This record gives sequence, structure tokens and C-alpha cells, in this order.
Amino acid sequence: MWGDKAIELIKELERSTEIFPPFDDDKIRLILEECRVLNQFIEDAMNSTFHPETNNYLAGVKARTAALERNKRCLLAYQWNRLQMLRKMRWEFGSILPVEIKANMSEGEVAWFAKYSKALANYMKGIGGRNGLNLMLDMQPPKDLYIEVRCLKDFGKLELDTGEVFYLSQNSQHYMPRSQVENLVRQGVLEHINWS
Amino acid sequence: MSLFGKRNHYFSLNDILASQERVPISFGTPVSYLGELDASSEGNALPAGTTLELSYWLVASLYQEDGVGIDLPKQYKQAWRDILAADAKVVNLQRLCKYFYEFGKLVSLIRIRDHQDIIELLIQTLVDRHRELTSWAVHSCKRDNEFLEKLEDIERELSKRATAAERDLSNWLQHDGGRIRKAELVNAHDRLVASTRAFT
Repeated sequence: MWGDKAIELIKELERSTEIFPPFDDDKIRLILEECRVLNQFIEDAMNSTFHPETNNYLAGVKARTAALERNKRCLLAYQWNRLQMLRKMRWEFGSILPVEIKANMSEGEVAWFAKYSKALANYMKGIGGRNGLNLMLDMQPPKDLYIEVRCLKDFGKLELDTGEVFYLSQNSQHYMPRSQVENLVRQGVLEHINWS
Repeated sequence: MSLFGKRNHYFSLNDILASQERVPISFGTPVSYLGELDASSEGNALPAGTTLELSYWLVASLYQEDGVGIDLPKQYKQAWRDILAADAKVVNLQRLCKYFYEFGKLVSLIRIRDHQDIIELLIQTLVDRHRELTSWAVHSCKRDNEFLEKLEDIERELSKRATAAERDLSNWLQHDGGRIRKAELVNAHDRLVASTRAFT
């Protein structure tokens, strides 16, 4: 049936709300091939002469147009929803994505992600005076300037703006400025402990 | 993002899936060039008297043609309307139709007989089921999945939001507001990586 491949594509995406599924090149190629066949029929019908009894193509053309529109909608929705997910990831993972997610991106998506990162960085540089404003900070209103954190994995050296250097090894605990470590907590490197 | 507004977005996955549900359609006169719609038919024309169940989006493009008649999908017919009117709370909407409200809304848009009744049915069903849904969602101690399995798509979304709101409120009451947490997708990704590692 027309549109079956397209709906499979959408179902695949709907099932994975939290993980980023691989870009389904093969299915997209099949859908485009289906579109080509549908379009061929419409073109042929338009070039033939209409006759209400022997060559009544009205219903056929209408149904195929609907199928074309449907395929188009599914393809666009597939790509758009994936981009929404990538955009959310930019805010949660930062500008460098884990390899497992990168492997599932298409070439176009990689390029889009780079462009989005760049645009966001430029925007944050452009607002809030000379030093810019980091929108990734203080997602929730802060209560203290310093917080206590515990390391969940070996991260290595972290140098603060003040020049102070911390060695973040697993299970070590530190007392650090909130603004410098908020991103690391959100990325799951550190854990915020003893909050009040 | 509003629950009912955003869903008719052109890119909305739920709207696309709801319009995939099937509607019975019958052809009173032969229709040429539509033989592909019926897998059992031969030749490229649909013979007169063919009855098929086609997806909503396809039916919407054909129902105004001469000799084409559409029927109500079974879940909006009188028999089911009576059941839902008697006690909507016990019906397993998930099994009946995963997009019961969305699809019902779409069906009532095409000029089908009884379309006013369908609209009333949808509203009344949601009103009847809503009380139990909210009470289930905000009392986290009563986690029985039997109830969740009876909910259709919009109801699941509603209960998910009610649960989240309840959790936020209790966190706030316990002065948990200032804590920085791991981001949602990072969490999901870490879980996924951990589970694949456990496999290999």
C-alpha cells in the first residue's frame, strides 16, 4: 500500500523518544522511489485525454496526489523531529556529542549540528555586554555560589577561571564555584551532593 | 508546548499516526486506476460494490467522489457508543483504538453521519475517565500497570504530565529546588550505554 514505508519510518521514530535512532537511509530511498512511481502515473494521466467512461483518471490522480503529499509529510516530519532532538542534545550534552550518537547521524545532520552550535555560540557572545552571556548556566535559580560535588568518573584536569587546578578522579569530592561546574553536572561527570 | 494545540502541527508524529487509522469505505460504481488499493482484486479498476478499509488520509481524498460511501469506524458506532456511555472507565481504550480522541476528531471533520454525536462522545468519555486518571497519576504509591494499559495516547501524556507535576511539587516542598541534576537525554544515553556494555 502507498504510504506504508513512510509510516514505518514515523513509527520507528515514535518508539525511540529518548534515544537517537540511526538515520534510515534505505527506507528513505524506497519512499522516494515510491514517490517517483506515483508521480509518473500522474504525469502520464495528465498527458492522456480524459474520457468519463473509458479513461476516467480523476479518482486515481486524487488518491495518488494524497499519497504523494502523505509521503512528503512523513519524510519532513521524520527529519524535523530528529533535528528537534539534536537541538535538545546541544543544550544537554554541549557541543561535543558522544560517539554512539554521532554514529547515528546523517551527513546533513552533522553539518546542521555544527552550524547550530556556531550560531548559538555567536549569539551568546553577542548579548550581555563585552564578555557575552552563557545561556547554559543557571538553568535553575542558584542558591549558593559554591557547591559540593562528587566525581562519578575519571575526568582529568580541570582548570578554573581563577587559575586554580583540580584533578577530577573518580569518587573524589570538591567544593567549587557553581558556575564552573554546572555543565559537568548536567553531563553526568559530577554529582551535586549536600545541597540544601 | 500545549497538549492539544501542538498536536495538529504539520510535523506532529501523533497526528500522522492518528490519521493512519482505518475507515471503512465502499465504492458504488466501478473506479478505474485504483486496483492497487485492493490486494485481492485483479486488473487496474475497482469493481462496483467493493468495500475496503483504507487509511484516513486516503479516505479524506476520495470520499467526495461520486458513488463513494464511508462508514463509521467500529469504535464510534452505536454499539460502542452505548458501552462508553454506560461506563467509560472500564473500557480498554488502548486496545480499542490507540488514538481514540485524535482519530475521533479527524473522523468528525469529514461530513460523516452522526458526526455531532462523535464529538459529544469524545468529550463525555474524557470527562468520565479523567477523575480516575488524575487520581491514579498523582498518587505514586498506587503504581499498577493494569490501569496504564487501558489508557490511550492523550491520556498517557496527561498522566505523565500529572506525575511530573506532582514530583516537582513534592521536590519543592522538600527544598530540593537548588540541586543541579543530570540532563534527561544524558541520563537516557548513559543508561543505554550501560545496558549495551552489560550485554557484551
